[in-house]
Amino acid sequence: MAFVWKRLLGTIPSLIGVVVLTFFISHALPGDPAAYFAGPAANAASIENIRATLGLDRPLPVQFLHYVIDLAQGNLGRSLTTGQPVLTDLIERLPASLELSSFALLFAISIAIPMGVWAATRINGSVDHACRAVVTVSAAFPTFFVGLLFVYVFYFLLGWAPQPLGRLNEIAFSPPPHVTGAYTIDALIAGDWPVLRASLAQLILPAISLGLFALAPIARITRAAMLEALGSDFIRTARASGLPARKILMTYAFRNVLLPVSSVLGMVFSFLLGSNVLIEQVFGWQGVGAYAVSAVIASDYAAVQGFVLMMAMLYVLLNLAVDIFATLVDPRVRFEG
Amino acid sequence: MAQLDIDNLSVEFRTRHGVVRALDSVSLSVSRGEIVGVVGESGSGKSVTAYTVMGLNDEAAQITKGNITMGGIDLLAARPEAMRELRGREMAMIFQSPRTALNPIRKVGKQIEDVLQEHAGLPSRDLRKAAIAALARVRIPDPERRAEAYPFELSGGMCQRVMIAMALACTPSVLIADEPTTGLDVTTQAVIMDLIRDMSRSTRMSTLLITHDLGLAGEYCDRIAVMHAGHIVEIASTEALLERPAHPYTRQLLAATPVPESRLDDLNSIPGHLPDLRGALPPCRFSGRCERRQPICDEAALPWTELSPAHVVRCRFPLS
Repeated sequence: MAFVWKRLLGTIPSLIGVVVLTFFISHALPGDPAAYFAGPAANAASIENIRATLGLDRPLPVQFLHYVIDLAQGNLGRSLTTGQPVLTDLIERLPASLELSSFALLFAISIAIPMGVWAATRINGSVDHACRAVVTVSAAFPTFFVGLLFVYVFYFLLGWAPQPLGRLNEIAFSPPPHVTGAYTIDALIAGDWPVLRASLAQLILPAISLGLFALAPIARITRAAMLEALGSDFIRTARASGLPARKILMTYAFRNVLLPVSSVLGMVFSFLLGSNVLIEQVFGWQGVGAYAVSAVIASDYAAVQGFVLMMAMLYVLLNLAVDIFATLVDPRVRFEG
Repeated sequence: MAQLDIDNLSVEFRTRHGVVRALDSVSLSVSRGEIVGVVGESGSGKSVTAYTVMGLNDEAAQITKGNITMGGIDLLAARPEAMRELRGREMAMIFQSPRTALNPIRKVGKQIEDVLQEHAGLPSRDLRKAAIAALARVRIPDPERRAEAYPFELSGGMCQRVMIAMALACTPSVLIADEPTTGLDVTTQAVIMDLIRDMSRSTRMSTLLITHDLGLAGEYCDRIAVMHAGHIVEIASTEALLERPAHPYTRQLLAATPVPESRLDDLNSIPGHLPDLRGALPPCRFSGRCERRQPICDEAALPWTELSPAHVVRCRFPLS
């Protein structure tokens, strides 16, 4: 797998860019972490004191140098708000966000792909019109609004959903033993069905509100790619060879659609990781998104920089995964160094 | 009786811009082992004829009259599922631009196996061997290795051989070749056409060769039908058609076909265009482009003139 290493090496320049940019942008943001940290009762002298202990009184290039040296040793710094190393915070919270995003993506895929395929086989049929309506609606509503609406309807009015306060009702249940960090998977591994049920119940509303937003691009690209595939010469050949309709649709048309769909999936998943920031706030989800929001508000530089750097690395890995998948699906796709 | 018999076939397309009368009273038959060419310019209805036989026409196409039988089976009355079973087993089709006509992400051997699996009734462990045998029959060197190739790894001519191998895998009784050599270079054209001819001779397969190239049809066909604007205007044995064309359109086509001695200046183009098949059409659809047209051509119904039992022409004033 030499190409994997080449690809990873190739991303180093962009990661360096990310490090430089996030450092200077986060420091240019309004807000003074020393004042925030000192609290409302502090006087000017104690704020200056804190500023000196945090090293914020030194010139920016010097601070940057220290930051880079720490980074090279795998030290992302210490968060002012939690008091823990940023790396620990992120590792603790990332599984929650990945769990949420993955379920959202799964939900979106399981609806959007069948819908897109079906719509393409019957253009202007009822499924096609339904597809168009769903795509428009889900693309038009902002994620956080859908989230709030869901909480209002399913928790407040109907009472079907549990309290939107995090990943598990920790008064009634204790989290499953830590393996992956994703409660649903850990509960499954531990065979703890009540916890699995409870964590799924917590997950379902945020995952659907996040997934609805991912539905539109996936359904649209599936329908378009499927239409193109079904109109192509090799489908005509397959029909002229008398292959059964199911085989033509799945083995011939759909497999040719996997390539464009997978590249969109990669993009959508990175959007989802970004939208987590909003939906985690709405549902009290203890993921990296909520962590980043509070870090920005507190001008917690180390935490913001750590979050952005981690996201950048996730995008790199995600794109690599999509490219590897592409080589598996389509023999014409080859890596050229 | 002919293996494939198209009788008095008319096809219309209902489109947003009106009804296109794509075929009008087309009659054509192909015997066992015979190669019949269908020649005409783009839009003359050659491919619609082929697709109608195969039952692959667009949903907008409507067969307004006529009959098609193959080996005694009424194809127009057959149910879609029955048609699907006939396609690939009893009748097969090959297309132009073979590289795009094959599934780009499936090994060519596998694509032939798909056809065999559907129609040949072979146990699945024999499929691969049968697919390789099919490739060997179309004289593909090293068929075991080629079966593992994807279409993009093969040349255009090699892809067309794969297409032929696929079409002939179940030894159909009817083969329709729709411009099979368009887009291939000249030497490859000859190889492919020789292959099609040898295959139809050796398996006594009825072959319908659709082409715009009268020279190619003249070289490989036993009989040739000339189509213009949804009409067959002349059918004759190749020899009679090339030497004694009776329809003005056929003669103009011949004058527009290059031969080795011809220079560019010698080649004629046929004046005018195909008529719009949507509006009211004169009885003779060629009359608008015909230099021998008489007032009566646009009035009375168009007769078939029989010059000999095997040479008929749809013209009131055939050339002699």
